[in-house]
Amino acid sequence: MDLFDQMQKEGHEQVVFCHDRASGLKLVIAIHDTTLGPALGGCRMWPYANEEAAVTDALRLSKGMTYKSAAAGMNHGGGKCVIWGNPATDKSEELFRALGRFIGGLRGRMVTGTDVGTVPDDFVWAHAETDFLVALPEAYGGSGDSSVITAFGVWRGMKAAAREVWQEDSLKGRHIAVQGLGKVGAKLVDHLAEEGCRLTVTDVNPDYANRVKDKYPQVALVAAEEIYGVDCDIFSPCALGAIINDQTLPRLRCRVVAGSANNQLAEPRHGEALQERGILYCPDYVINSGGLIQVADELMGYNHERAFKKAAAIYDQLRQIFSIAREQGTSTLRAADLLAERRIARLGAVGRIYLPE
Amino acid sequence: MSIFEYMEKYGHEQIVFCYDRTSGLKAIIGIHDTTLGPALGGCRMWPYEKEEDAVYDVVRLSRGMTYKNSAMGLNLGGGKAVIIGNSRTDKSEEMLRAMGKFVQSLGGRYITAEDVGTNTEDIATMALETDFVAGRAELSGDPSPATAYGVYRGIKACAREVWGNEGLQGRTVAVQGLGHVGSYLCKYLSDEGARLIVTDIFPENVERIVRQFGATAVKPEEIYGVECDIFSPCALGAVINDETLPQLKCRIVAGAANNQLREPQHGEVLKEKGILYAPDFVINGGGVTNVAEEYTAVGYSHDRAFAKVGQIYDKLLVVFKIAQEQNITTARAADVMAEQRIARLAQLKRMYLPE
Repeated sequence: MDLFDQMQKEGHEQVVFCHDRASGLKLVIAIHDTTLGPALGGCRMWPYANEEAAVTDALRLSKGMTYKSAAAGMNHGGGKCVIWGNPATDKSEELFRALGRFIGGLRGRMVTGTDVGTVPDDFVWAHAETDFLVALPEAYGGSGDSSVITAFGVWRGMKAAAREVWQEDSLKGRHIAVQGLGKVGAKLVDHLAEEGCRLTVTDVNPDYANRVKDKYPQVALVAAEEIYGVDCDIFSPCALGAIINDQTLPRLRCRVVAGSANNQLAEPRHGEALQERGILYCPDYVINSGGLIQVADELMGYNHERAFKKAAAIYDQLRQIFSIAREQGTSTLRAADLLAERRIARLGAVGRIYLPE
Repeated sequence: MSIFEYMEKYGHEQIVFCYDRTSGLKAIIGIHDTTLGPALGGCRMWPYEKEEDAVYDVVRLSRGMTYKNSAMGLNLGGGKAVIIGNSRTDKSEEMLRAMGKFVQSLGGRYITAEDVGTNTEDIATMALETDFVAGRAELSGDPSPATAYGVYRGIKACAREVWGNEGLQGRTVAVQGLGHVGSYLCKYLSDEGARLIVTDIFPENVERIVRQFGATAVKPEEIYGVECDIFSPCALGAVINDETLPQLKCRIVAGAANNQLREPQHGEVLKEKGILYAPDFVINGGGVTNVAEEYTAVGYSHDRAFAKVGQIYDKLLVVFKIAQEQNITTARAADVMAEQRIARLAQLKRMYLPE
């Protein structure tokens, strides 16, 4: 399909192909929608089979970022950078500095940072050329590990779900099944244990599982495959994507799905299936937006307290989403999209009011 | 060919696809090389049948601007924009303003100007949204007089090269195309006492020039074969080709048209036949030199701009010298001159200066 056809269909504003002969950089910057503010999105580095694959990824991911930022209540549009190259062999100082110059050339319409295939240190090179970067190493003014705030946001999101299902924020005495005890999962368990939840957990890595078990002896450990069938109040996927699928759906015995994993639904129709089964789904891209909220705060000079205050509002965003889903009889996933689109439309209209400079 | 293949092959820095839902704007901005400064080039509007045609055009034209701007001694890189659409039916205020916003989004890396399918008013509309336009009516305005003056000066450089004397009195010049540029050129030539043989597809243009300057009119297809000293193509591109080359009876080809050679090999044939060719992108660089004057530190001045346009004379003498020294065509020599300047100034850029 022609690029303009795709841009027209998905509503992209700008796709920028950047090439630098000296470093061999091939970079695609996709800017989807900047109604809410500068486009924000990570910079992926991947050895795509061809140009089309790189462009398709940039288009898809940048649109996802528009919805994520909008639904999370952030003042950012959606964008994504993809470097067409092999992260194991093609990285160099000149490559990331060329990238920094191209990002700088957009004068702040696009802000980027680490993603699949890149690490914060790569952007120290780019930082020599531009300020429009986030998630730099802490020594360079970055906000550091984002798993703490992501776990916090998921915990707040669970409370919104509890309010919707059981009419109370408290999670005390609720039985929660946590899949994945990595950085985010383990920190989520801290919040839940402290609040007095009953916990059943799993991780494919026994070290991670044992670490949690040592810290909280009351926690029940199950084998990785068993987590889906646990009779619980909330299932919290904090590891893999696509874990809500045709195989796992019939096994679920929860009232709520709320976790930090990306792309939890194998397909959008699995969101509808959850709805039909009376299981409340917290759309992943909203409930896991704590990390994005943190890095975005770096643009204002990072303030820990402010970032956590904004992440706490994931609770309010989810309440709005549940309310839209209820009123319109749609899945919560669809409702999150509607919230994002509504916010963009309304704030786009507010922007009409003339302000003298 | 894919976008990155083009960029690798021709050395482009950036190709920017811009889309605006409200106005339906579909535009591609090509930035070829910014070693010398911001990329300057016109914004063309054309109803391309296929997206890849538009891509190819912007790739080709933006690269051409790098060479032209470098050859003119400007501190500007090469760029070009194309809007996919029919300039008579698809243009709207919102489309042009959306285009202006996208030009602005590049922060001054690209400066736009009028081109085929756009005019000074369109540029003024874009300028509501961007600082980065050139050729506004109230500044440098219509580029045709400057282009014509540059061609006139270029013809004199050719005369000096061939006959050792830059005077054009008594020389016969065959002018193909009597639009804005062709008409102004006829005035310069006639004022110096040259004899004119002219043609145009519009009879009213021909009648006007015959009346004003006592020119001899011929049919459009006859212009290639007329006995003359100088053939000056000021209309179509690709007029030097396998069909026209055997007909030529001139010593010099020097005109305002773009892409006069159908293929680079036709430059070789001219060389073999002993016909001096003034490379098109050098001799027709008066227009861009004139608008670029808006981007100098001191701003636009008509006199200063025309003085610079007049130096096309000197640029061509350099081109002819390179061609002679390296025994290459003048077209190739012009490329060498442009490439050398970019390479040398890139070296100079390395030296660190505190801001």
